[in-house]
Amino acid sequence: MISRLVVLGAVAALAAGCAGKMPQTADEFRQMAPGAFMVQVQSFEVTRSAREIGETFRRRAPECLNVTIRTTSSSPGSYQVIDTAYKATVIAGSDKAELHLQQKHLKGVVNVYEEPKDGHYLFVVDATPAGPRAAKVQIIGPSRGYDVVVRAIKAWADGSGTGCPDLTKIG
Amino acid sequence: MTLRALVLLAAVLAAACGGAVRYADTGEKNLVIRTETSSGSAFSSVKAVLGVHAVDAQCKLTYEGYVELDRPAVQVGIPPGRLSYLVFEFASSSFLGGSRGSISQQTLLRPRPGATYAVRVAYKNELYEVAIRETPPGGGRPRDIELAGLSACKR
Repeated sequence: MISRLVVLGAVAALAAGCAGKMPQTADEFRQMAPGAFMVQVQSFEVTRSAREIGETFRRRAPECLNVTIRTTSSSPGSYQVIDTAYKATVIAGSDKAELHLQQKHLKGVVNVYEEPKDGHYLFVVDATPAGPRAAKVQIIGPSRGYDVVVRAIKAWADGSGTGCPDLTKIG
Repeated sequence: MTLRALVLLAAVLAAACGGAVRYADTGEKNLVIRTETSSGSAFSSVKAVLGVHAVDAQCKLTYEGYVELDRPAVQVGIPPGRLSYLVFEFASSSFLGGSRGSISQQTLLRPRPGATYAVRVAYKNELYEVAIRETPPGGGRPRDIELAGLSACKR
């Protein structure tokens, strides 16, 4: 529970940034995220084209990530229910692929700053060409607590797997 | 005998209290569901369950019951020629900290008469997947079936 609150706090801090404003677009998220507290920017190359990666994102992301999750936790003297909706957006073209993941708490968490309609940006992933059949993949997202999402996205990008992340395990 | 009766009574009461009923599963077994689950931790567990719903012409669901996917292979009969909505749920619970959660993968399926369906249900390292492969009547070349959400019913 404590780790979840820490991560939620970190996400809020990230989203708010120094200026006390939450990124309203993926581009604003890209600009504000590097160097922000508890945000990680990972880059790696895969031997698949950005187009192939985009096709995998298009096939897997809506099915795996457009979900609403209820998590409950209890300890002596406390019981908490958090409802969270996730929304994935895929923009896939012949030479670039993007995956955005937004998170909106519907119940159990109070927002400090105004967030975009579908929730604050949690991940922004970009795949760009890095050779005839290779691509550079950049994942911007929380530095801890979301390992299962990162593992799923990496597997989709390098073609090693198509499993969905269990979003009840994050945070 | 008494113990068996008590266990049965407890199971019936548990099912009744939860509002859940076991799927009657009286038809020809046209689905073979192979399940593999691992929570990856000695302090937590994952259980897979299939919920079966009938879908009418207005895309309205009628719950028909659940099937516990607690064995490596479970055979189920889903009425051929009729649209069904299958909900594969992975419920995890932690022995420490008292947390629990569930996540599900759903799909519409209209089994073809005479066809058989191999369903792979997996949960490992917090990643899950459901894949369906159809073998046509008479044993032709199998093909993967794309999972379709309820919104596909209205199209």
